[in-house]
Amino acid sequence: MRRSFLRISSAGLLGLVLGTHALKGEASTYKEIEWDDLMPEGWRKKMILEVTRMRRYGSLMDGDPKADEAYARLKKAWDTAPPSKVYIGKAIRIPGYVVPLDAERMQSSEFLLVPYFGACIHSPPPPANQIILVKPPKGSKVRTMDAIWVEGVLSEGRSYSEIGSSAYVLNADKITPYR
Amino acid sequence: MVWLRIAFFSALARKGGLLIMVLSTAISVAILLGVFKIRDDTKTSFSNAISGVDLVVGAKGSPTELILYSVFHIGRATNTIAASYEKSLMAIKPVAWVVPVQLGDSFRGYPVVGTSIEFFTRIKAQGRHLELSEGKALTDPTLFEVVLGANVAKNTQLKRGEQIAITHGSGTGPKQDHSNSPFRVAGILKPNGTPIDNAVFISTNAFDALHDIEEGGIQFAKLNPDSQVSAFYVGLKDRGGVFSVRRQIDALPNAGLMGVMPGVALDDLWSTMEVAENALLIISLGVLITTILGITATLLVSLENRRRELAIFRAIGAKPYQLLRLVLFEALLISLIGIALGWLLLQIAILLSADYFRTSWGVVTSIGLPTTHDLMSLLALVIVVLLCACIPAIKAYRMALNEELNPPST
Amino acid sequence: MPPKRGEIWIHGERLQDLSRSAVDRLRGEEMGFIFQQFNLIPYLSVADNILLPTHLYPERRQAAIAEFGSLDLALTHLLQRLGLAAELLTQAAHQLSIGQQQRVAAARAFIGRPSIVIADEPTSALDWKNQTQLMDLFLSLAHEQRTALVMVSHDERLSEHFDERMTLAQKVAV
Repeated sequence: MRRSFLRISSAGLLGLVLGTHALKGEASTYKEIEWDDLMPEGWRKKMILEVTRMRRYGSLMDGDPKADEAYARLKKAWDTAPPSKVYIGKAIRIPGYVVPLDAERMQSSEFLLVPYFGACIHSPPPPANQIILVKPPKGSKVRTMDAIWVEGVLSEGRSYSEIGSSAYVLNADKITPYR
Repeated sequence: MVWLRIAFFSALARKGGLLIMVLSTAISVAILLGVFKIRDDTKTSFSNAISGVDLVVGAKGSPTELILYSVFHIGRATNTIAASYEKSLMAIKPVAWVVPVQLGDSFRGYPVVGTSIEFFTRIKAQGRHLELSEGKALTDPTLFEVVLGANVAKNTQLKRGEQIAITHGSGTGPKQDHSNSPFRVAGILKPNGTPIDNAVFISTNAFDALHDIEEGGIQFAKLNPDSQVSAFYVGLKDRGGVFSVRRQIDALPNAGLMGVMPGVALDDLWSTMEVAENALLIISLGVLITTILGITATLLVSLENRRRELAIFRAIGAKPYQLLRLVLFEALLISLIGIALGWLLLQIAILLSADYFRTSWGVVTSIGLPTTHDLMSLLALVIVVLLCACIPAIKAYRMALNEELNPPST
Repeated sequence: MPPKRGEIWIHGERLQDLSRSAVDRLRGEEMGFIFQQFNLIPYLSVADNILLPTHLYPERRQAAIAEFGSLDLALTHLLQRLGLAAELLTQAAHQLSIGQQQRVAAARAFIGRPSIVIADEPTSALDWKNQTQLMDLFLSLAHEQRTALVMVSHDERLSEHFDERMTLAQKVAV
């Protein structure tokens, strides 16, 4: 009798502990992810191989047609980098840098989110599956290269495969500065 | 109230020194209100540039310069590129439309823009399509039709159907003979708060034909195969593909082109402007502080010269706080007259410089009543002046209290 | 200015006992002053100068109106008594001659029936003819308004006109 009582109460205690954990999980409904998570695993491995191969050309002179060609091919492949299906339709939370699409001083209605600073100015642009087209809540204003957190539901970018566009679109519920 | 009158006449009697203080206040106020106005007007003129354009394509160079020139029509002219590149640009997959932009001539101080018919359907202002208040947009590139921006029509009083003379180069020379000019106003746009309001639009063919018109008598503008443009406005099927398009533009063989994202270039411009605005603000505050210190010093020094005057008031039974108030009234008088004069100075300055600001800087400014922000700042200024004037005012109070003001004797 | 020695009593009250603001009120309501020179506020008009006590203290104002019906009439009366032309009313005080200024000072001192007028060498800056003239005016005004006139002077001849006289360096109970 006593043993069954103990078993029930310990199960209850366990349930309580697990239950509170579950509650905590409910509170932050946005799963925090990293940019690497947005690259399909297979594609990522392929890219690593390509980049390693590129390093071999590093010993050649700048402007060597072979190196240029390889570089151009790589950049072209990046235009049609496929999205990872893992987080499509999920509520995610991800940090990044802003590249504005509109030219209005007082508010932003759409912008691109990229993983690194200077993605449109100094460095070459990222592959398509590392670009998110964000639609922010009304009244937001962000500036070029602002570092922010976005929270929202991720969806697949339309027509990315044919014309080379951002692989993802996100309807942002909230934007906060990145500290 | 009698003390206000006394303060006024007392100040009048010492007007030499005080006039300088009033002038100083006027200049400081003119500068402060002027800086506020510059900030507001540049914000209005530059905050809404152009909508619906995903890339501006031009000759390789400074992105900010390209945007300033091709969108705002100000700054240094950028190198031109061949109009035939339009085809190459349309060939890039994500591109939906391409509109050429030609610049370099002006009509009565307003920039003349050579463009295609598609400009009026593709380009938006503040998210809304362009609308006409009169007439129609360009319909046929071979005709010498003209579409006027709202401000141009307002300031030149031109109406639909009227004939105008657009000549090669700046059209501010002596009045030309209009009778031979084939240009006719076909439509007038509604105001939309962008640089489009201040521009004059003709077709690219007509733009190229500007040189030939001087020789007289042409009816139709031919297509010029060697036509050059200052920039192309490009719209994409999917905005997310902007990086890819930029890369492909960059990769066009021997083209020397660059694609600029307007939002990015403008953010740069706006940050620079904010830095400049803040610098101007700090300087004008510095000028103001100098003036306030000057007023305080003048009032303090004047007390020495007014011992006899204050002693007489004391003899008739004036209370010490009334003398304190007298000094404060004088400070109030100086500030109010200075502020009024300063505002007047600013209006005159605006009247004299408005045209220059519009043509050289693309900033539209005009005279007008002070804004709420202006008035709040002026109120704060008066309060600060009165606070500082408490120093001489309290001195007068103490002089009265300590019986330092003795009845005048030989 | 507090006395160095002794005491000052006005209307049965000791001056030292009164608060500063009470002293100011006393000065404004009950007293008038005529100094040797520089009596007037130079940039104010003659009218403004004379009316100053009435602007500062309503009692003086009421008294003047009670006596003459209006401030304007009070002004007219005083000007007349002191032999000043009415046109002078609008002129700035600094434009008048010394003699005229002293008369205006007298008008200011006497307006609104103060109980005491204190005059400190009021005529020494003038020539003899004007001095006697002015003295007569002061005295007749004082009589008319039943105002006590206390005068300080170095000229002994003037003491004849007064009921009480006191030589400094003498201790007298008045």
